[in-house]
Amino acid sequence: MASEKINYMSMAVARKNSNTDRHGKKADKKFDTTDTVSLLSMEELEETFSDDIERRKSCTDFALLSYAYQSSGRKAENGKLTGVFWSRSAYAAHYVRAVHSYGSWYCSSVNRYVLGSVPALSLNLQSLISARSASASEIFETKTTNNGKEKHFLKIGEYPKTKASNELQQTLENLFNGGTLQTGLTCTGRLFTSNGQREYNKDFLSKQNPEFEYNGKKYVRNIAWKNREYKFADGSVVPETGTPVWVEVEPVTFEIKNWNRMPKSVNPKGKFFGADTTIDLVSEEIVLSGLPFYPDYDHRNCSMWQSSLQRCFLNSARSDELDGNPDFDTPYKWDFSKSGFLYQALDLTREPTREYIIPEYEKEIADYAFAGCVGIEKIIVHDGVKKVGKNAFAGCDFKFAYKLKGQTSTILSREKPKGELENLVELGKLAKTFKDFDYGLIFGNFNLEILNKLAESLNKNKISFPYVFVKQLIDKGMLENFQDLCDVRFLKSEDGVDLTKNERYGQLTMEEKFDYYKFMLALGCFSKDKVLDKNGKETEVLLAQKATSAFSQILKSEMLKIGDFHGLFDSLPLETKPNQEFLKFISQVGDKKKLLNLGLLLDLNKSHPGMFVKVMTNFDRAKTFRTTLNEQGKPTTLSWEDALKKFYTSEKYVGVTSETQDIAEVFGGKGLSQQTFQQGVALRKKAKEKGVGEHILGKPFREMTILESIEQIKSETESILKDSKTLLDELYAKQFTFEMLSKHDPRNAIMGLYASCCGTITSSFYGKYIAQSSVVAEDVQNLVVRDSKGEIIAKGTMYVNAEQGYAVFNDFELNQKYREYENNSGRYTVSSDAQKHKEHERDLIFDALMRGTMGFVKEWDAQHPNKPIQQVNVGMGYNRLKAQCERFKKATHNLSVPSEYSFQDAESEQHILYDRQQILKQGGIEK
Amino acid sequence: MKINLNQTKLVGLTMDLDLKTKEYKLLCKELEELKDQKIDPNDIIFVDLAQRFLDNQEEIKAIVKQLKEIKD
Repeated sequence: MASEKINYMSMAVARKNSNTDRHGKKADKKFDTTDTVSLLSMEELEETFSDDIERRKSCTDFALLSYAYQSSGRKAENGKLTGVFWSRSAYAAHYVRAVHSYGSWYCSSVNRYVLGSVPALSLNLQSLISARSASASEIFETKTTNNGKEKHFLKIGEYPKTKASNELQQTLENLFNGGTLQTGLTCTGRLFTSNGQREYNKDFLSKQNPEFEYNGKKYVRNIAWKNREYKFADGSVVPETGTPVWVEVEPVTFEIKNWNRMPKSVNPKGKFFGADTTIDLVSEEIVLSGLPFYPDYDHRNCSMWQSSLQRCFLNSARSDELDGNPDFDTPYKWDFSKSGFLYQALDLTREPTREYIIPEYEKEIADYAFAGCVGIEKIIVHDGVKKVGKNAFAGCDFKFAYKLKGQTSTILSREKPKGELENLVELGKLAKTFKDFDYGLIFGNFNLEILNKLAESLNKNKISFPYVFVKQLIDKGMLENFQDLCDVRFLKSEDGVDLTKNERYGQLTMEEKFDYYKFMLALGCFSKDKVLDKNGKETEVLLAQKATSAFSQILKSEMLKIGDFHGLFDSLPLETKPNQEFLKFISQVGDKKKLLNLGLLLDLNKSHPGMFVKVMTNFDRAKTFRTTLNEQGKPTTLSWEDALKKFYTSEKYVGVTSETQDIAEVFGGKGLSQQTFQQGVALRKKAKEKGVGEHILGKPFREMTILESIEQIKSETESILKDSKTLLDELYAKQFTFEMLSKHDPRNAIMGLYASCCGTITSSFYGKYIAQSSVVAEDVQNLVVRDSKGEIIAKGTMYVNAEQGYAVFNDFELNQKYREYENNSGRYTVSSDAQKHKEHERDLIFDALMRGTMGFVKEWDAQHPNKPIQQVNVGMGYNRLKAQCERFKKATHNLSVPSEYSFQDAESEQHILYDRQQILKQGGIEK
Repeated sequence: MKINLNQTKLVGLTMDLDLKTKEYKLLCKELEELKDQKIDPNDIIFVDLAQRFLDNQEEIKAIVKQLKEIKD
């Protein structure tokens, strides 16, 4: 299908869209737009997808390479991790409704890059079927979702989608770098455009992803813009920003929204009459990211679809040609007619781009804007371009840069130009000479002649410099002075040092190399000055020779290793003037041919950060600290170590006190003068004199960051969890359950040990008989209560008179641990309000005994319907739950228990726990 | 054997609370990982995480509420 050159763009049907105003209100027709491609509105998203799960969208790998957000665990219906995407409905001024990774709603400020686009469009059904030489069943695809729902899809057009396998990545990159484009990898010359802008609130910048063909498939070479450690579809991680990644160009999968309204020829369950003539589509995935809804957060209409960047880009339109209400137009002059989504994804007949004109509205060229675009033969850069991003033209094979006579634009070209030209530069020479050269040097008003001359000189001596170094020299107007001795001729003559072939040098990054050359420059290795003699008179020796010799010594000594240059000299200003005395100072050789002072400086730099650069750039001042007065007031000379430490300290402000320390640190960090420091101190003093407090509110007041909010939620949750643990402990401690203890259970005989009473067979009191009867008497049994650990903590020994239908508990006994707060009044209740919670526990134990009693009665009655239990009484003698039992009516006549059972506690006073007649009067036991 | 409904409910809620506590710990781990990456404290990724922390807290609160009902 990929080989069929179909123009789906021509089949697209423009639709009238109703939109919101900038506050998110759906007002009247004045907000309507006509669009071929659009984002779905909030209502359409609600309508199209029945729930949040269905509304979730995953990101294509191509979108992930353009800064898309990816959720950590939530998945879309296709099983891939979800992203976030724009709707076309405003939420409020500056905010647009968007779909969260959960599939639910949230809003985003218009200028974010992490949200993606899910384009929707309609195609003419007849044109689609005619153009595709296949039956309907072959054109449309049906998938069944996890919840058993059938969904229908259409794959059309071509757009970068899935990252090539790691093995293929390697192959393609090798072919690309190895220059075997003709044999293995073919450049199709087609481009896919994304946004190269990296700063918020700044206009769109084109970044081209060039397309290549390999083994019958198409791939773009994308330069990654990494957001986080997100994962591609194959599980590999998005690489660092700036890494080339090959992404396969595949048809875009669209979900069909109106499948049920399709004619029967397409959908057998569809309609004979009144079927739709267009097929309504919405992308299955987030196809691209890194494109803000609108680039300017402060613009009045920034949340409106009509003026949005998304609308213009997706429709491959010019912003001044899109329809809508003139009141809501955008001031931006975008032109995506040959670069937006509609054109690049759906017009498969589009021609390769051989000539590219940077649009007038793009005042900068993005990082990697044309990296790898080997198919472009000519780029025309207007003179309004102020900045060229890094590696903007990396890998492009432009050989010439020039201007047409009388014109201001600079043209980059692969072929040698004809006609009247100005400032013709052979780029090949510059590229060879300036490592990582990316053509940014040649734009603007710089005189290309000087650059040409420098390149020639360097080429002749087979030396190359980092591009960033040369660029800085140009920017600071230092190139002219630099070029005479740029060949580093003296260094080359030194034994054992080959500057650019040094093994460590080769491993340095450009920034590290930059600092390496900065140090050389500051030492004087490129200086045309003559060395002065002791009397200050010029000699015939060039400073460059002396400096290079010193530099060579430093490298040989290995005291200062090449890899350390970046950490040491990244704050060294490029404009630092060479100082002969400093040169002499660090070249001083001591015992064992060691560079004494260099070692001292490097050591001091460890304990005094920045010392090296400070001394190097202020050596004249630093050396004055050697001379001082001793305690007797006589002049004396300090050691270099003490002198340099004193100098270092003196560089801080004079008059710093503990009260002004913070000012000194902040101002010092910004390199502000003593005068500014004093002004800051004076201001503080004035405020203090007036008694001005720190805050108008008398306390710090600021909004929490989201991270701080999380920390607060976290601490609240911690506290809730802690409380809940205590609560659980309490609840479990109060879980009392009853049991009619088996008469065979050996604990019956020694029940007193559990219920802390005399009810054991060894007792010398009447409890002995109760214990015995609970084992041997058929009509006596213990009702016990267990705590949450299963320990018996209470009991009531019950006698049941089956003949007369009643039962009597001797009393209720409690384990010691529930009796420690009992008063001694003989009522066995806890003594004070402070121990109410203990009383509560006793209530719960009593409740368990009552549940057991009532449960027993119910069961008994079910088994003896003709002789139900009429009454249950409890003895009050030594009853440990007296207070609870007293809530029940006192019996006027005690129920009798055979004397051999010794239920002595039930002899004097009984209370009625259950009275069948009474209950029947009230409506029955159930009630 | 008679069923003690309160106790059954208590066991169920304990299990629920256990699950939510584990979920909370996973969220904390995720938070620490994100903090290690030195991400801007107002990044959208934290909005998502904050929401999950809040959801988790709400669910814990609901469980605790039911526990209190049992207690009362």
